[in-house]
This record gives sequence, C-alpha cells and structure tokens, in this order.
Amino acid sequence: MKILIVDDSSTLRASVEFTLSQAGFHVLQAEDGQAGLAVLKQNEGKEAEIGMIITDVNMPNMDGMTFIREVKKTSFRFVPILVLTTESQDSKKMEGKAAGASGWLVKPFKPEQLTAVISKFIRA
Amino acid sequence: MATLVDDRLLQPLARDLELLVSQTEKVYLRLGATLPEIFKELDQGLEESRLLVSYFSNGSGTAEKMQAGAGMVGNVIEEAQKVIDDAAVYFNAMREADEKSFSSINRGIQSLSLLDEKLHSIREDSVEMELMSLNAMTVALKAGQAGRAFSYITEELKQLSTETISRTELLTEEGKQILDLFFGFRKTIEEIQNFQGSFYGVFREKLKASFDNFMNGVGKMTEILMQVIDGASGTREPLSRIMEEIQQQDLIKQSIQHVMLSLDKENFTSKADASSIEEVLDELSFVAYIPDLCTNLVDDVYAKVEHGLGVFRERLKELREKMGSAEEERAIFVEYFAHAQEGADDKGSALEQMFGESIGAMSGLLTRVDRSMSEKAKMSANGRRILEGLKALEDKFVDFASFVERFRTVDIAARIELAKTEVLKAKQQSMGSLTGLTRKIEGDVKGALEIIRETNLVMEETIRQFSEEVERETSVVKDLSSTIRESYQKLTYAKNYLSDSINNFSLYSKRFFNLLDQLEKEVSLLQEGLSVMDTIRGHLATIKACTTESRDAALAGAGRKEWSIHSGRLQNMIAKFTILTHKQTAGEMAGFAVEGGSNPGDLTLF
Repeated sequence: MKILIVDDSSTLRASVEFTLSQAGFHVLQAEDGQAGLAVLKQNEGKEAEIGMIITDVNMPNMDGMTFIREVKKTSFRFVPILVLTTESQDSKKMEGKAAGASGWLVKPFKPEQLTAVISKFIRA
Repeated sequence: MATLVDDRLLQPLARDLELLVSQTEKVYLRLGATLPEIFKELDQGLEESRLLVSYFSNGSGTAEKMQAGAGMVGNVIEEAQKVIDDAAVYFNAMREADEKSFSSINRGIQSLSLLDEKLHSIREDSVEMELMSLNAMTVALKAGQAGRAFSYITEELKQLSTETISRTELLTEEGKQILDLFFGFRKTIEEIQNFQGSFYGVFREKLKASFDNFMNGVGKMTEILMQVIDGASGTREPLSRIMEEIQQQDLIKQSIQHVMLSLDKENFTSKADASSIEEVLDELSFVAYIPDLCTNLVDDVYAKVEHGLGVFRERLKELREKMGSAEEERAIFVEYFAHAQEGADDKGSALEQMFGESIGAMSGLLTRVDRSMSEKAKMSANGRRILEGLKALEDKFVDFASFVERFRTVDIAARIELAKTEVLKAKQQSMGSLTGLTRKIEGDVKGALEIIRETNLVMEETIRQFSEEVERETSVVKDLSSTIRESYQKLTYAKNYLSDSINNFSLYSKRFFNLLDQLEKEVSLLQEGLSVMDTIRGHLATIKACTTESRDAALAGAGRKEWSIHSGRLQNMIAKFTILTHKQTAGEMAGFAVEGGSNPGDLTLF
C-alpha cells in the first residue's frame, strides 16, 4: 500500500518515510501541493493503491488547504487525508475539516503515534 | 519613511539568522540522508547474520553464497545420514552373503574331513595288503618251481600295496594342505566377519549419534547467535530515536522564520503620524517589543537545537554501548566456536570438535571398507588357488582309482594260479581275504573320489559365487565409498565454510561504522548553530537597547511610564506564525489572548 507525504521539509518527509516504510508501506513524496497533485496525476488509474495522503499546511507554491480541496476534485477524493502540521489552532483545524481532511496531527509526531493513526484508516 | 532601527544593526542579524537556518538545515538534512543508509546497512548486516543462522540450522536461506558448494549444513548432514543408511543396508547384505560363503566353506571342510578318513582306511588296508602279499610270497617260495608263477603275482601285489601306501600318504598330505587352505580361508572369512561386524553393526548408530551431537551443537550455536543478533537488533532503537528527532528541523526552521518575520524591515519603518503622540508611542512600543519576542523565539530554537544535540549525543553513546556489547558477545561466540579452547586436549575449536566426531566416524568407515574389500579380493584369489588344488587332487584320485583297479587283475591272476596249482590250493581261503581287501580299497578310493568330486562341485560353486560377490561388492562399494567420500568432503567443506563464516562473522559492516562516524561528525556541527545563536542574542540585545531607549524617551516625553500596544500590527504579524506556542508566547508578552488549539502530538479525527 502506498502513502503520499506532501511537505516542504525534507527531514520531515524522511522521518515519515522511515516510520511508514518500517510499518510496511511504500511512501511517495512531494515537496508542496502542486508536486503532490502531480504525483497523484501519475498514479491515476491506481487509486486503490494509494491508501492515504499526509500533508503539511504551510508550503510554498500550493499550501495544504488548497491541495486538499484540489484532491477532493480528483479521482483520489475518497483517499483519507491526514494533516500533519505545526499549526494547531482550532480555527485552522476547522478549515482543514471543511476542506475535506480526515484527521489532524500536530507536529512533531511520535512514530508509533503516526502508525497508529494510519492503521485507523488502512492496513499495510 | 523613517527607519526606527539602524540597518547596520539589522543586517548582521539577518545574515546570522540565514547562517543559522543554513547550518541547522544542512546538519539535519545530512542526518536525514545518512540515517536511512545506516539503517539499511544495519539491516543488511543483521540479515546476513540471520542467513548464517539459517545455514547452521537447515533453514531456507536464499543467499547465493550460502547455497554454493556444500549447501546448508543440515542438508549435508541429512544427505550424509541417507548415504550411511544406504550403506548400512548394503553392508548388512554383504554380511549375509559372507555368512552363506562361510557355511559353504564349512561344508567343504566337513567333506574333506571324510576324505581324510577314507585315505586313512585305504592306507591301513594297503598295509594289510602288503603283509598279505609278503605271506603269499613266502608260500610261493615254499612251493618252489610250482609256485614260481604265483611268486610273480605276489611280487606285483606287494609293489601295488607299497605304491598304494605311498600314494595314500601323498594324497593325505595334499588333502591336508588343501584342508589347511580351507581352514585359512574360513579363518579369514571369520576375521572379516568379525572385523565388519565390529564396525558395520555399530557404525550407523555411531554416525547417527555423532550427527545428532553435531546438530545439537549447531542448535546451540544457532541459539547463541540469535541472542547475539537480537542484541545487535537493539541498536535500531537509539537510531530510531535519532531519526525521530530530526523532524525537529522543520520546527526549528519555522521558528527561525518567525524571528525573521518579526525582524522584517517593514516592522522597523515608521508609519505613525509624528503629530500623534499615541501613534508614536504605539509604534515605538511595538518596535521595542520585537527584540524581546525574537529573543524568546531564539531561546526556543536554542532549546530545541540543544535538546536535539543532547538526544543525538546521548543516543549515539547508547548506540555505541549497545554495539560494543553486541560485538563483545560476537567475539565470545567466535572465540568459542572458531578458535581452539585452552585445555581442550588439542581437539580444536567447538566447531572442530562437533565436526570432528562425524568426520572421524566417516573416515573410519571408509578405511574399514577399503581394508575389508582388499582382504576379500585376496580371499578371492586364494579361493581360486584352493579350486586349482582341489582339481589337481581330483585328477590324482582319478589316477589313483585307475591304479587300484590293478589290484583286481592281480587278484584274478592270483586266484587262477591258486586254482590250477595243487600245492597252493590250501591257500585259496586266505586269498579270499585278499579279494575282499582289494575290493575294499577299490571301493574306498572310489568313495574318496566321490567325496573329492562332490567337494569340488560345492567349492567350485561357492568360490565362484564368492568371487562374483566380491566383484559385485567391489563395484558397489566403490560407488558407495565414492558417495560416502563425497559426503565426507561436503561435510569437511561445510565445516571449513562455517569456520570461515564464523571467523568473518560481523554484525556491522565497515560502511556502517563509516556512516556512524560521519553521523557523529555531523551532529557535532550543531554546536556551531548554538554559537551562532549566542551571537544572534547579542545582536538582539543591542537592538533592544536601542529600541528601548527610543521608546522610553518617547514615554518620558509624554509623561508616561508605560504603553500598551493598541495597533493591529502586532496581531497581524503574529497571525503569520505557524506554531501555536509562539503565538501564545507573543500574546502573553503583549498582553492579549490568542485562540486556543492542540498541543504537539495531539490527534484530531474528523
């Protein structure tokens, strides 16, 4: 099962990739919303293979909220989206929920916590 | 528009902040790139170690090098066991065939013993015949001219008797020689049987026991090795914690961006109406607030980097300790299994001892099989010599039988002569005994000939069968020996391979150590980031002194002691912060409330 991580921080992406690959997932990476959409475009027709999308909020070119809204317009709209960000204000979370996010995890994360969240949505 | 803080103060600060971002980013990025490589290297090392274990324990290892040559140790043992089982079945069949030959030889010996009895009887009769011929000669002499012809006959009879005695003695001697050969043959079979019995009967159990001991040893090795590998697996834990910590770079970067955002040139450009004292006070208070906020944010970054540095150092120390402990266990393992122990009676390492028993037993089996077959080949040649002897003896008996027929001629001639010579008629009764004796000798010789013929037939068949059996056994045993030898070589190869593998067994590759050294160097670079932050703090202190002085002067001019920031500039600036705790800190410092939210690590499911 594949998981897409969209974050402008390469160290964060590396941490997520390490954690999820240890749990048996294949991790796809993108550095912002635009790149994330491009990755999804490349995977059109293989929607069932993408088990989850994890995205940051504050990113250059296309922020996380816009990215979520754009994903919801694609064939990947049923893929659960977890927001992984330093942002934690309630209003921001409501914005994420409205955009179509399935969950919100405030950075930094504990590896076991991330895998537990993922397992709530999918199985490797 | 007027600048509220001299650019000469702001520019070095901006440069140092950029430097801090690039330094921390560089270190964390390198850590992020190096750590997965270290994990890969660690996993590979552990995987190879596990393959070594599977090689020990007949697992299903897939590494090509493990499958090369002898293959899995367990398979080699299993194969050797099968070879030995096959050999045991064949060796038992060999023993049965040998026992059959043994009883045939015994029958031959019994027959030849009967021959000896016959020869003994012939000899005794011949002696008696000789005496009788002497008596007859006396009678013939006494008869004078009338007994002249009879005298010739008795002379002939005496010569025949003497010759018969002589031939009987010769044949007895030759019979004895052949009998000795038989005894020798039987003794050798008996010896081979005992020799084979002492080994073939027990070698299977002996080898099975040695294989079992070996596999138990391997089981123990596997157990210890798994403990060593499990210990080494523990090194993942500190590495995982380091990996977890590197995501802090994202927060560090965002925190520094908050500082940069606060130090934006726009914030230090006056927008207040100089005629409005409130606007001027509000602006100067805002500007005076910024260095404090930034110092607070830098303190947070400092704490994060310092914490990161502590985590990295502590975990690397823990990692080195765990590696040291695993390496120590590995060294003990290698020392015990691959190196000779003191006081081990020169039997070599535990591995050598484990293999030595099996290899020694197989080697012993091969030696004995070779010796046994060599003895049998010699026996086969001896058997042919016995047959030749028996044949010659038979020929002599045929000749002897023909010879003793002459008694009958002499007997007839004697009886005719006695019948026609008046003076000798009185002797006719004693000639009746001569006739009986003649027939007895003739009968005994024929009986002996029968015995020798029968013995010959039996022995010819026995020795032919024995020779054929030996020939067949030689061929089968040659193949069997070759298979055992092959198995023995595989076992030796497996031992050498295991010995090399154990000697070269390492939990961590050279690359792993290099990457770890590299990681440690990179971690130490974070210390430079702390130094840069000290400099940044210095810059902020200078700016604070400058902005505080301006604000305090304005306050004094307005006759006020303090001023609360009323404009939205501060809220607008803080709204751009992406970390809630920073917003809250800024709000607390400025005296306004910030919207609530979750803590780091909190999860909200929608």
